[in-house]
Amino acid sequence: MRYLRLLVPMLVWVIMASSCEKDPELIIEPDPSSITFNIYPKVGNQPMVLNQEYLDEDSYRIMPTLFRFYVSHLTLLTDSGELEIKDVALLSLEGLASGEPLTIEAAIPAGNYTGVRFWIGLDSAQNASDPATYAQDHPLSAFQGTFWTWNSGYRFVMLEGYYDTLANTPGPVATTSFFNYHTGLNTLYREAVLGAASVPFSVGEGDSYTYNLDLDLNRALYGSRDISRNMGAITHSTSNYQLAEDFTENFIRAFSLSNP
Amino acid sequence: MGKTKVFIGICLITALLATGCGKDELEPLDAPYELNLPVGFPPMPVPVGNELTVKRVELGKMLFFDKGMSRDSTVSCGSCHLQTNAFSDVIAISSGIEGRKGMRNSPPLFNLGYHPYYFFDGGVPTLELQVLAPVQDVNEMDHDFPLAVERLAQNPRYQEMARIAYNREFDAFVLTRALGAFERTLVSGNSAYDQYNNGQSSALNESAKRGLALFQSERLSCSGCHGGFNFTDYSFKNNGLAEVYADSGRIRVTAVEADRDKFKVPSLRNVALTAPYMHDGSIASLAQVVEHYNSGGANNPQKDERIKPLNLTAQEKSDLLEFLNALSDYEFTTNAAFAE
Ligand code: HEC
Ligand code: HEC
Repeated sequence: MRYLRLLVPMLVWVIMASSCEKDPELIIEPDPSSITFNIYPKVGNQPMVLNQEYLDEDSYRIMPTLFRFYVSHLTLLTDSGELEIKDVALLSLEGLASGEPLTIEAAIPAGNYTGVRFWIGLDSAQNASDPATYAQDHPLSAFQGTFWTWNSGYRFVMLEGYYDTLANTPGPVATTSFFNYHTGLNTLYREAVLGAASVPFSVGEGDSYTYNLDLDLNRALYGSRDISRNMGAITHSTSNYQLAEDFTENFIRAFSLSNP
Repeated sequence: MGKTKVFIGICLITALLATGCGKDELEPLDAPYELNLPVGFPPMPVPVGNELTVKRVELGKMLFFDKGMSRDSTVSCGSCHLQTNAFSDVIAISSGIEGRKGMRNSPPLFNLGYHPYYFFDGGVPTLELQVLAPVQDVNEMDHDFPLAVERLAQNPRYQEMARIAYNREFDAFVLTRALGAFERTLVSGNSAYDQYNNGQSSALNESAKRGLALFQSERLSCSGCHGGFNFTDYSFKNNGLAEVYADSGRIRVTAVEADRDKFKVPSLRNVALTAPYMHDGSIASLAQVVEHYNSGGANNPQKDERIKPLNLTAQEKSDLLEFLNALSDYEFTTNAAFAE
């Protein structure tokens, strides 16, 4: 009967060891501090929404109709190292009201942080995912409309809309000139260049900290590489790769600290 | 004492079973699907989590022929991939919904589990991922993927089968896995050539035997690209169809200049049943394909060096044709297991 005394703990152990649930991530208790990243899409100083016309930096009319992008490996920097707080988020301007930000929220431990870093797009492992294996609302699911079906992989940044090919034209934007930038491919995976937008901050026990960034379309078009003149081009990255790369190089530099 | 040990044993086994995830285990209602591979075929790789089972394959077949997969419920996978033609189409460019035209010829579907990648430009690495393409292609089924899945999920039969086959509700995962499972069962390897190859020397006539020798000869080097048990090495090549290609082929997915105008070497099994030929369906008959190779093809800078004038005699051409005709597997094209 000695065996019976062993039996109960053994059963408990077996049940625990064979449980399906993945071990929950280490939760730092008791610490409900959090951070919200607000990213305000703009054209220059104006808030940007979809399906509205803007005059860009060089006085060309432009109307974005779709704007989505992946932010991955959002990481906080500390004196002692780095803390990743979000592996992947998909941000979309769809349904966003004027002046509203795109947001990423995460729970973080209270403490002092020296800055942030994140990447635009997906790392090669994320980019090789099968979208049908994710729940519908996951950023990598087939339901997000970001997957390239003829060339398996994800679109990192999708920006589509209409533009005028001549500056200072009167009247509404010509809806005959469509532009369509889809960047993707592992070679276009880049860390955002934040510079002065990556500032130190501290978060107290139980506090929620807000980190405000602007994302300026002008900088994505007229950044270090001026792509506005050939905006008529369409790029799906493998077609017109140079345009996709130029746009990517600008886009990763289009973030700045919000001036409230 | 002995009894106690047995009791403990039973308890442990019960506990293990009761707490198993059930994910990879087959429900009692489902059973492994026996893939009968032809003699000489290597084992077919099957992805973990989508092992072949009777219900998975059955569900995949129902989906393959379900027009509900397209936006206006007029087109199924089977509309462009016809069994009588080894699951290819008889016209150069198949029509999707509303008669829309894409840009490529529907390739035949067989021995797909062996392909290292799919499509003429090789941009899709698995059969499961391939499913996402036609459903959403504006020239094929033009369906919003979420809507397609939602509508198919209304079908109680699909729900029931999804639970048995994959132990979950019908969703994108089930849709893509089940179609992949069915497609892996489309195995073809019982042509006259195969029977000859397996020792039945009367299966090929003398002309076809001479054609086989030509096909494998260094002079023609057909088997240099169309080699192996599936008559393809799956490499990307240019066989000189035209000086200028409208479709730039593999470069579309790699952006590497060396891949311009190159297309995946197709299998030649069942080739007599899959006219018209080439990625754009631009060659109408096998006899014209033979003429194409005999001429050495057009002067494209990407053309493979083995595509050069062959100076075939009339007899050699007809022998080569006779051999290509002997690659048809009618057991495959009439197999009720694959029929709608
Ligand atoms: C409108 C016609 C059409 C429909 C409908 C269609 N296909 Fe296709 N299929 C094609 C064409 C054309 C290609 C070649 C495309 C390419 O290479 O770019 C193709 C390629 C494929 C391939 C790749 C074969 C290879 O050798 O690489 C598979 C597998 C396939 N289709 C399966 C399906 C399935 C499953 C469905 C239904 C979900 C489907 N097709 C629906 C026309 C169609
Ligand atoms: C350098 C590699 C190479 C060699 C050598 C070669 N082929 Fe091909 N073959 C291809 C490629 C690539 C295609 C598809 C081209 C396309 O779609 O643009 C093809 C297509 C075909 C097709 C059409 C198949 C279909 O389903 O559309 C036939 C038939 C064919 N080849 C027969 C032959 C014969 C017979 C020979 C020898 C005389 C030969 N090939 C030599 C690469 C080769």
